[in-house]
Amino acid sequence: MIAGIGLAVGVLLGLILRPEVPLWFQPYLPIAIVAGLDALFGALRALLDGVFSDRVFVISFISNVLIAALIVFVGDQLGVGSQLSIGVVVVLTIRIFANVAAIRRRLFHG
Amino acid sequence: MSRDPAWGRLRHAALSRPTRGQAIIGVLCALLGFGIVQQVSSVRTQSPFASARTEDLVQILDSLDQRSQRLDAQITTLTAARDRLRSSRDAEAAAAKERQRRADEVGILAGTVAAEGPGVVVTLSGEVSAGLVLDTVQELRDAGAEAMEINGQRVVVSTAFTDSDTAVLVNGKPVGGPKRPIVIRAIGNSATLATSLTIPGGVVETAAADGVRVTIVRAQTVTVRAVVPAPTRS
Repeated sequence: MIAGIGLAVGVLLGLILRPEVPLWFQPYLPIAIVAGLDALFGALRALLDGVFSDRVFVISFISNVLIAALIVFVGDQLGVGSQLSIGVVVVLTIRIFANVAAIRRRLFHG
Repeated sequence: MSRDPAWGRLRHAALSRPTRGQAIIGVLCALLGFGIVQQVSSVRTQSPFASARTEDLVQILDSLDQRSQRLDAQITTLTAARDRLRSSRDAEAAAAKERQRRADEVGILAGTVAAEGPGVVVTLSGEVSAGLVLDTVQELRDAGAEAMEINGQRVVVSTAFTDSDTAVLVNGKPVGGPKRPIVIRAIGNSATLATSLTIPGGVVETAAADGVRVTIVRAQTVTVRAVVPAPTRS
């Protein structure tokens, strides 16, 4: 409930404010978003499994975002930033698919 | 369906009273939504270079550098070509000028154009023979006379001097006579010309022996107007 409202409020804020992404932050934002989505779907799955915990969600969300950004940062320093970004996106996407599949099974016994 | 625990948990989560933990989750979700919108709008509005990675930008820069180098080389080539054409045009003008100068020079020597310059006016009065006139002309030629005329007859390479009963014939036309002196206008270094005639045993002395009076006047400007028709090429 609160999560959905928060999501809607964020989108609205973004639409209204139309902020510029700081230049140094540009390579990290897409990865951070994918990491956040992964955490969100993970939380939904945990909720349906009955093992959801506020603290675990907050910690996994923040650590997901931070680690994704860190990997991209390190990749940029090593000169393989684009490849590592692709790697992070692929891994996170696979996790999102797995989570969504689990949610679907949980809800529809599919 | 409602018996299934998953749906119940979902409904419970959606309808439950907000707690402090859920507020934090809401904030995080708001952050996520905010970030998504931000990223989407920036991808839409920014130029393709803004999101390009460093290596791509370096590659693009390299290709632009190469292009600019190529264009620079083209500029150099074309500038050189232009300069070459311009200088060849100048050279052509100079050649035309030189040609005109040579034509004038040769024309003066050949007697086809009028001439003007420093020189002498030699007057022979008395019983003048063709030989004396020829001697005078040869002497003046040796002294570097560039153009000569005798009583309106231009003296050129092929000019002939002939004796007749009444007068000397120059190119078959009588000049001078008992009453009319023969006037030779010669263009050249006036001092040299005058000296060449007055040397001991020269024209003046020889003429005096024959009873011919020779007067030499040096002038800053002597005009030779008589011309001969230019020989036609065969």
